[in-house]
Amino acid sequence: MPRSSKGYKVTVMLPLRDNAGTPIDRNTWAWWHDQLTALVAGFTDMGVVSGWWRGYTDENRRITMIVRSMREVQAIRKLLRKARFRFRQEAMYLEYHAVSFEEVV
Amino acid sequence: MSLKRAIEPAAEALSPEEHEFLKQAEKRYRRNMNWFEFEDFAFGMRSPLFSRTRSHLDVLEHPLYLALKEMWLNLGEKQGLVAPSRREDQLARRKTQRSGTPSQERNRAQKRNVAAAHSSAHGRLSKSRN
Repeated sequence: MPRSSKGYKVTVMLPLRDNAGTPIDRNTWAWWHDQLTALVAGFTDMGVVSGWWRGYTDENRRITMIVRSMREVQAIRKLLRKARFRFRQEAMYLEYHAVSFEEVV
Repeated sequence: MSLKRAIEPAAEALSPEEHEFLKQAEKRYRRNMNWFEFEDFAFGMRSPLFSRTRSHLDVLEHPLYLALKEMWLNLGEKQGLVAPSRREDQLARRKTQRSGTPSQERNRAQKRNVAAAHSSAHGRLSKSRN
């Protein structure tokens, strides 16, 4: 039988620029990278996607990760609350849903 | 932190596998590899950083992580995807303001002295009025 477990698939979007069109600064990226590395075992960068939200057109990095519990989802939510200020955003995108996954070997 | 300051201590503290990985990363860095691709290379599944024996918090202080992060941020800046941090902006601005011909610098110094003399004179005046 394959080893399978339950978890949550979390997707977040990170803007490459703030709403004024300025690239996100170095300290903010360094901070984000440290925070995410401390929080999750791994993530997948799904690439840059273009979007439109309340009059703003922007390019975002779409990042997905699998976490084991809602506690971790909550930790990501907390991180996004801080990121909202650092990335100078009105809101940050957070999507999650329960999944079953396997490490197929 | 400059790249040199990040790489030199890293090179001494790394295992042979990590050292080889750092060399590979440096090659890609010098080739100006795409920022996203570099991130995938440096912090992705192939990276020796995330060995099973190392905790996430240990990774943050690992010299290889620090060196790779520095390269990643530098590449982002070079490719216009990352803005310099504000502190660096300020330092660069201060540097530019300071630079100039020696006579310009002398003039600025004289102006500063005059301004300082004025302000101390004002200070004395106001005190004497009180």
